[in-house]
Amino acid sequence: MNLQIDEPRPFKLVSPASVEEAVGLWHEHRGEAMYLAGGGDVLDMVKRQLARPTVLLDLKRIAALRGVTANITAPQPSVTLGSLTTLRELAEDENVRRYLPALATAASRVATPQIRNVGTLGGNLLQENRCPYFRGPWDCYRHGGMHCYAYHGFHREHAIFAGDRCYVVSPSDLAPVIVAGNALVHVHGRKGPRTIDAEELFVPASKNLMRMHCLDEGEVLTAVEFRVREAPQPRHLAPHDLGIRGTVSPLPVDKRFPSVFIKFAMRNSFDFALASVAVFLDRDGRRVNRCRIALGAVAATPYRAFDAERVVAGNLLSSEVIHEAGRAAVRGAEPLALNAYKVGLVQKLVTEALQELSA
Amino acid sequence: MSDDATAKPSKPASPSRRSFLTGVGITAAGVVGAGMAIRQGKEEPSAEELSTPRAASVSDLTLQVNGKSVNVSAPDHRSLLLVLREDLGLTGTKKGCNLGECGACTVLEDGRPIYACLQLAKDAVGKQITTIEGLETDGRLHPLQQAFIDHAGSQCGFCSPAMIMSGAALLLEHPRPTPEQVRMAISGVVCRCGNYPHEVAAILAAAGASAAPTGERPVFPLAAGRNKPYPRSDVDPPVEIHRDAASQAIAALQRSPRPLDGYAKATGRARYAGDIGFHPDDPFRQPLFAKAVRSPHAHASVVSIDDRKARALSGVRAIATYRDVKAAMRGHRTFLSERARFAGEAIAVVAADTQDLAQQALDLVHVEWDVRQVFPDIEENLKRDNREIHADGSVCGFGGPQPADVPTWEARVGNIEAGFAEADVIVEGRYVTSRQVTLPIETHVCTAMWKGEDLHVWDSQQSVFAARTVLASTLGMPEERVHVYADYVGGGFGGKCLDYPDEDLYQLYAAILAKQTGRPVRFEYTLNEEMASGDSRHPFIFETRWGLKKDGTITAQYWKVLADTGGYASSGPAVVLIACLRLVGSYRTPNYTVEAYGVYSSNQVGGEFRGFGGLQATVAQELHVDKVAHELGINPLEFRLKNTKRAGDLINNDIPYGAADIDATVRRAAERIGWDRWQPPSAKTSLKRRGLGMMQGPMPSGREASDGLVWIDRNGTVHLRLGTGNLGNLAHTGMAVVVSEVLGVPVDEMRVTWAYTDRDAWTFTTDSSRSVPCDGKAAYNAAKDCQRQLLALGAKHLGTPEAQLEVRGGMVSRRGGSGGVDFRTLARLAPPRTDFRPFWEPVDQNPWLDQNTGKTDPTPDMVVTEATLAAAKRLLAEGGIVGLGRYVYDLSTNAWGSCFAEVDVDMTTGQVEVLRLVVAHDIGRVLYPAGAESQIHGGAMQGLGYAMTEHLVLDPHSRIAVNASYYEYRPPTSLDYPEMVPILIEAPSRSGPFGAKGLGESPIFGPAPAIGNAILNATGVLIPQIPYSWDRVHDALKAAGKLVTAEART
Repeated sequence: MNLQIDEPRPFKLVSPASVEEAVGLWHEHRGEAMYLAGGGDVLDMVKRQLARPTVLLDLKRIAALRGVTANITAPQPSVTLGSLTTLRELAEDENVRRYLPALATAASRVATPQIRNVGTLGGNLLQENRCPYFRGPWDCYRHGGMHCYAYHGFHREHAIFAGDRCYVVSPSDLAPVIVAGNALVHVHGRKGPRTIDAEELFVPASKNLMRMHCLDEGEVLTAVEFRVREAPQPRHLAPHDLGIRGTVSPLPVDKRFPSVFIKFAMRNSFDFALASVAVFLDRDGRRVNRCRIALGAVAATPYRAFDAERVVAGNLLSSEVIHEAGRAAVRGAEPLALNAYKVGLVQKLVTEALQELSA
Repeated sequence: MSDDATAKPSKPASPSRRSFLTGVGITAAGVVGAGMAIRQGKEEPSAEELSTPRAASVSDLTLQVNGKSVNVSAPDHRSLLLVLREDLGLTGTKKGCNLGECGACTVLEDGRPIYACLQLAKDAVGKQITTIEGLETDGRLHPLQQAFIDHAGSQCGFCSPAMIMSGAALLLEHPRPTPEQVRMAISGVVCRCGNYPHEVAAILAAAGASAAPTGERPVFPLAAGRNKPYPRSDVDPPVEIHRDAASQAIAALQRSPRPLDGYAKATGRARYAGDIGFHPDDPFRQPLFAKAVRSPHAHASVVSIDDRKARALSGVRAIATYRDVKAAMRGHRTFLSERARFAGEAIAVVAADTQDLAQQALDLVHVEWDVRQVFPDIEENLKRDNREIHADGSVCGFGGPQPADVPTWEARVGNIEAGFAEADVIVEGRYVTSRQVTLPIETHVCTAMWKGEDLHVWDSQQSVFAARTVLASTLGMPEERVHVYADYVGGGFGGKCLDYPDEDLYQLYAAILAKQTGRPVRFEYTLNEEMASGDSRHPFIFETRWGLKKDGTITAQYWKVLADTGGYASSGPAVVLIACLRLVGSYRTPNYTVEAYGVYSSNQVGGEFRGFGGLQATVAQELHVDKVAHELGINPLEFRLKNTKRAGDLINNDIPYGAADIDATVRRAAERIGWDRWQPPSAKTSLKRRGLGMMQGPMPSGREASDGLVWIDRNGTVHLRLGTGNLGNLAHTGMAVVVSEVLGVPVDEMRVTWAYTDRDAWTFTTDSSRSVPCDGKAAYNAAKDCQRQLLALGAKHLGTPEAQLEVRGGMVSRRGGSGGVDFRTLARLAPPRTDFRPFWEPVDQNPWLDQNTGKTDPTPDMVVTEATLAAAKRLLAEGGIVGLGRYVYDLSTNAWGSCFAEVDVDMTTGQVEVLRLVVAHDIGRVLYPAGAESQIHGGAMQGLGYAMTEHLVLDPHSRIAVNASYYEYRPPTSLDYPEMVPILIEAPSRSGPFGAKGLGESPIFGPAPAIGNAILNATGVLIPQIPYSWDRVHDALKAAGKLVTAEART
């Protein structure tokens, strides 16, 4: 029982000036070091002594990791967000509000004003799951055990999709936004920088039970880049995701690629989502060319509602289409004994999100 | 699996934290039950850590705090919060959860609010830090601080500095905010007292903002806000007070006093128990820090404790285990027994130089456990009279454990069979209530210090005299050698009453360690300890059967009541008793039977909490009343008014109810909610259905005896010495109003002290809504005693008969005349008092139950206790006039209350939105309107939590709490409460001060049953279990075939 613990084991706080230095220090203290951003999750885990590092590498002093860069007039317009940009900065940034309203909303719905003042984009995306058994004194799958205590115990807030032995959910509010927005994630490790698709950042339980994201040891998430309009030839050619066609549209960029995010939490402050949804559209007039829908807090990763996307793509956002998409979004849901309510909630959120975009 | 994870990098390639999750392993020697494996949360320490603490990296920092540069030497891992509080003595910033979940530590960093507990001090270098102490300029208060004083912005005051800092940050950006912006701005701070409406009002007032929204866009877009009715854009409606005619004649009621402690709380000057020890003028400095080793098993016994390694750790000063306490005490949980009867029970305690070392020492205490089977099911435990937990029986009785065939309490009145035989309709029900925790923002904390043979304890304690009695008896000391101080308490709600010897006696641990070390020892609960190992509200199971005539007349009531008292009895029997009195005392029934059992289990111990059994019973009974009315087809309001007990009816076949204006209490609230819109559920067909629900009934209003002590010193200043704990109930101001009226001295000019055993009047435990009706009446009598002496002295001095004199405006004057003689002159003339009999009137002497003998004395001795006598004699040595009062509670005093709720239920998801709560209380006399209003807000807020979200969930197998954090337990925030309409009615009681009755607990009673009944009214489905969590409502609608499914919905 670690009920009695709320102060950390002593550690050294080091503030590297560059990403390269940070990565170098991490490897110098390999196995002993953790990166520190806003601290909302890391300091919580360190204070509960769920983690006992001897060195914390504070990334906040690295200026290059901070800020919003909008490049709208370029041939391939994009908005790039430094990973240490605070949630409040994201919520208030004019470019984010205009071109990525879903992201601004999601950032403004995280926790509390105090947390948003220090919490960062990168920290929010990479935070650990909130399963009370994982964070409590239970030897569960994610700790190398052979049992899911939540499945056999209290799991009102656990996964309804893609549970596989473990039923934790992705707690991040920003994660479904970067997945729905098909963003690129820039990371920097010992071998230098690399870029991955947002969707690949998150690791489903079926792939690896022990981790929530795919960053290699010592890698730093440096930035998230949203392509406001994608390249004609998508780099990543999954059959379900052919990117957005490079057709000419009379609509301005922010009207042509609208997005929305809705979170439902039990309290309007502090709480992690019971479910959330992020939707990004590519449309000409009222007709939707492409649609990406990602659900938060219903699976270990942001969960793509492919069936619902297919219902919407190529159609007008009519009431029938919207309700059909809502029903499609929960197809395949496998609720546990205590969380069947999430199915109706997800359907409602998807429906509401599409209604908002059709208005 | 139990290898040291830090020494060996873990397999996954995650960059950071996965590598450091603590090692997994089971150090328990015995069998682990039911496929369960508990990680001990500690790794086997490395060899070097056995004897030496992990070296801290210490730096000399220069911080910018409140506009000044401050040099401080602090280790890298030390939070800004601890540096501000413990190193710089800036204790206005409060430590609540310490994990970023409550917001009490909010400070400004470069003008923006942050949590100081989640900021490292070293990280704050170069930033401008502003704390509550930095808001004053040149000794003048910030407008926000003044507004918090003027608008009763504080109840317990523990979150006030954080609320004020949040408000200050808002005003920097939005000088004229809307109510919605204010609610958003303070949404990062939890006010467990539920005083949000006053906090919002205070911030709006400070901004000079108009009540009307200005149309400015919200601080943050509220995408999900539209799924709920909150946050609302309007201001909270003001309290509606219905004064009776006699109120007009009471001069003190025509003034509106400020709260006595408003200044201290709005400026951060109020020193709570955990704040003491860090200022130059504190009675002690540099305490040792204590921590408890707790059982990870819900049921186990200790085979051995090996604390040698912990003792060897440098900086560890003392360790106490059950071996260090008397054998006679070992049966009690509190004395570190060698048996754990719930998960989290304390087994050993450690004191060390720093908190870091105390924590580290915990890992080095190796406990070998014999793990036993857990018995979480009270129905099963009762059925087979399970003696595994306590050998003498499975039921907790007033005299200890007893067999299952002996109820804790029972009543058999009339002929129950005949009652059911004459009934037209029989309605049965089964109701289950939840495990709510008090969750004060200030966790339990104390510091104990010995001066010779005297024990001094600074405690977060509701009830200093009860604590003194328990500590003295468990330590085997005379009471007068134990001194307990509790100036300010950061929320209590019942959980900080030390009045049973088998509560978690952390004060005792601190005292034992302080004795061993000769140093002051501080023991502070972490948030997790507070929630997971502290006491919680008893969960109850009620089974009932009512017989009724078709016209709604009740012919018989049968109740079987089971309360989960957990591993120990504690307050269990008393809670069961109060629940039963509520069941039998609400509705007129000629034939009734109640069989009630407090049952032991392997669960968290049931404890004291606002409502104390009566709340649980109210939930069951008021839900059942609606079920009955629903089945009979009668409007539930009319059914209640037809059957409710009224003045003169017997509570339980013995004592009659005193005066209460039930019709006004119910009907006025019904008008405000719009009860005329009430329609049966069959009339509703839409996807979103509106429902109205209500409850009504008698409310607690005190118990036991109180002393009063008022002193007029040689300068003529009036001192009121209240034994009442100041847990934020604002009752002290009300009691000061009482004395102000008797002596004609404004509240602002009196000196009021409270809750120190050597100085203030003895009183019974500060609980059961008794402060104003009982302590207030004793204070009234003490003031009358002063008045009596003043008149006698005045008569002598003025040469006028007493009958022609009156006490008025700090003078003794001739009736109707001017001039006279002031208190100062008379106080100097007063001869030393030799007769210490207190003042009282015949209504104050009431039958008193001696809990030791079980006998009731119809005419108890009306004398003050030793403690009050000693305090009075000390005062007399300084001269002046000492007034003494005494009051013994009149059992027929009852406040009355009603609550109405309006809800929307989404039939497609089961989501419940509470739109409005109307809460009406007859409190006899409204002494302090702002205080009464805030009690209603706060009680209803906790009742809302009890209804909708709050329930400490125990894992079904290990019985360890799985949601022991603010995040998962979810007390309401400033964005989570609906429109609340408080109403106050005056129907004076026979013996309360100016007729005042209790209010402290009352407002929590209404929301849970009223909301449940509103859900029934909306959907036709009764949810017989609280909280009405989303999953529960969803599943109940589905089971009833009422859920509109995905296919049907378009």
